[in-house]
Amino acid sequence: MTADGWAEGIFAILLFSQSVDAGRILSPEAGYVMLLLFGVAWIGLGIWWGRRATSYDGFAVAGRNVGLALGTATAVATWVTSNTTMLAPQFALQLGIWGALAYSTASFGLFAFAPLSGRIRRLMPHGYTAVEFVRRRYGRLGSIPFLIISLFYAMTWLISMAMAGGKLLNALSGIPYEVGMTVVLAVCVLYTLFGGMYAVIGTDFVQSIIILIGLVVVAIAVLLHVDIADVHQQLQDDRPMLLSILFPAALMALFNNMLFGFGEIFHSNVWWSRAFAMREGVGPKAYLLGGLLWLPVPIVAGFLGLAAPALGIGVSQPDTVGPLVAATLLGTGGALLVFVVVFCSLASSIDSLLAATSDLVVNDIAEPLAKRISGTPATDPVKRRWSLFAIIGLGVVTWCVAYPNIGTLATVLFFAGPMVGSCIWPIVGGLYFRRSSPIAACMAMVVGTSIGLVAYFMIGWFVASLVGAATSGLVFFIGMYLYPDDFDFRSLSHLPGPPLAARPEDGPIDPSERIGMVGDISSGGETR
Amino acid sequence: MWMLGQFNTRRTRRTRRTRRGDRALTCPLLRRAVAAAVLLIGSSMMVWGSVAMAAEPESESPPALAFVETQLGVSREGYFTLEWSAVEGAALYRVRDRADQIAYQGVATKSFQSGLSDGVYRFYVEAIGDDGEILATSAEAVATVEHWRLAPSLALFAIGAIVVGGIGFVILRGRWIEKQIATGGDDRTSMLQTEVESGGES
Repeated sequence: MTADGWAEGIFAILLFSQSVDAGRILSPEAGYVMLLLFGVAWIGLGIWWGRRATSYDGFAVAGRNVGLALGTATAVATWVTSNTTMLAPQFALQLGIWGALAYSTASFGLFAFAPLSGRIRRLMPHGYTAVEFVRRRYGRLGSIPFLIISLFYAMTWLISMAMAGGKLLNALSGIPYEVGMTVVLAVCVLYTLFGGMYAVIGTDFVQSIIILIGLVVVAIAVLLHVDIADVHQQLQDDRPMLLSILFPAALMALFNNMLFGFGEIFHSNVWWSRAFAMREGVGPKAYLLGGLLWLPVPIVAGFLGLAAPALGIGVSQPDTVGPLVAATLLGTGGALLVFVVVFCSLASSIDSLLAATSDLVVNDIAEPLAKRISGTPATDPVKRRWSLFAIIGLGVVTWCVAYPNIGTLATVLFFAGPMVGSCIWPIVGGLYFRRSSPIAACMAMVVGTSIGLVAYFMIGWFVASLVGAATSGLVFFIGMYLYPDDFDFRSLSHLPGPPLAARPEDGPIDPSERIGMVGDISSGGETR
Repeated sequence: MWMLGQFNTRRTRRTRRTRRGDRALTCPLLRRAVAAAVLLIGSSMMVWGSVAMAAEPESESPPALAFVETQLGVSREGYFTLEWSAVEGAALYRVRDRADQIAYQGVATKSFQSGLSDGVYRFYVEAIGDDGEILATSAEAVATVEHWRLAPSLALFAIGAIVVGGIGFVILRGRWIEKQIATGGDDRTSMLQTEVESGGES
């Protein structure tokens, strides 16, 4: 078959094949072809970009030389997850207009992280992970709960992404959940394995462009097909609470989601590893631009959820409403577009998580353990090899948990809400206050998580992060007041090793030797 | 989720009940008595069942269609999922509310309802065949919507605003101080600042 004939054949399968199942927009054959095309493309691009990852620094943090364009693109692509394209419409369908707005407030996390990323890069020029910062800032007392939270969150996010892949492919084309989930995960594992952070950021660039173009096309097409006045009238008649300003659960969800976004970004190594990977001075601009580009995405996606009842589209599972509405309105072309956008958003998040979480496993679990056993730090090639094992291991664990397809996406993801919410203050305080102490950070994370989880079960997911963040903030400031520390920020700029305060020969840090960092400004006779 | 919490509570109660039952059966005499009773009741039911089946005339009964849960309890967020059994030969399912309005139409055996105000909602589902005939109709499922009270919701909204404001304040203040230090400030801070802020090892 000639190239033209082959292309025609593919096109015919995609556009004209009839769906076997009356409920699907694409046929399974079309789904398999798309999977194959994009799978091969991502693996190929990953290998091509990853050829520069010869050292561990290259593999883990892309040589610490990522510029503004790639930095912005990777922030957008990573933050436009399948949860954005699937959960934002679900939020709108569950909580109405407030729900769509609540989801879009997650961009505030990127805005808030912009200045933090600059400070992180300056304080830790040789750093690799968020857990490393917490370990060196708060010692073991702070790093153990933080590592547990980080791993739990990373795995939850990874699993929810893999599940989203399986569900979406099934909803759109009827490909069995198990097959779709396995293929999406395997493709991401393969190209991350070959190229590390270089491959992740390179593919993110292409994926972010595809995602943004796709969403603009979907938004325009949906607006052409849907009369907003009709949607409003239909919602007013049948689902009035979706338009209500005083929708109690939605009111609670607004700041909850914003704080969830803060917690996710502030604590997650996905964002820290990018802060380390970007050139000095690039991080703040990249995160700010990324947030601005991301802001309208959940609003567009959320509108799809609100349009569903008005269009008479039967929704059986709320987390698939967005893709279903777009595909139903725009026909086969829309289904293909949605397929591509969601496949890109899935891949961009899964690869980031695999790379960032493998850094955690190597730098914060394997290396300290090996050092304790053998007494010598691991060499670059050894760490590079451990990364490969870590990525494969993470892929296998994710597959095993995602396979049974338990729970809705929101349930799985929001279980981590109180945990990440309780990390906000220990991170912000740890970066800006010299007095932030290990006991304050540890108590803030433990108490914030516990009370947040109680709120999760007693009230609902829509207050868990809020309660976690508020409680941990209170505990953190009380702890800092009762057990103040006197941290020397210089210790963070050293090459990774044991914290200065942990070495007895260094003795206590002399307050008069402290450097002029943020947090050293006297305020009311007290240094904060 | 609240619904999840409710489900878990129910499951825990059931588990506790089962465990109490397990303890009661640890007595050997009681266990034998229960086994004998089960055997007796079981055999008599089998005999009765076979007689009844033999007596029943052969007839085509409509396929069973029923909601998985007919009492959905109270939803505090105004949304819930209706789920029903599949019917062989059904091309689609149609869920109707008390006013006979269509609340869902599709191939799945689930329907997500949301945005409802306070009140009691009743639904039934119809299985529709290929040529549009109704194959089966279910009994009613009842859901109650009772939203959270507004005062505590607004209080949590305010707490959220305070926390977010606090985080923003700390970051902006930190950034402002960093800039002050970078642009000069006092001699001591600017000298030391250069050493650390550049990331140089001291």
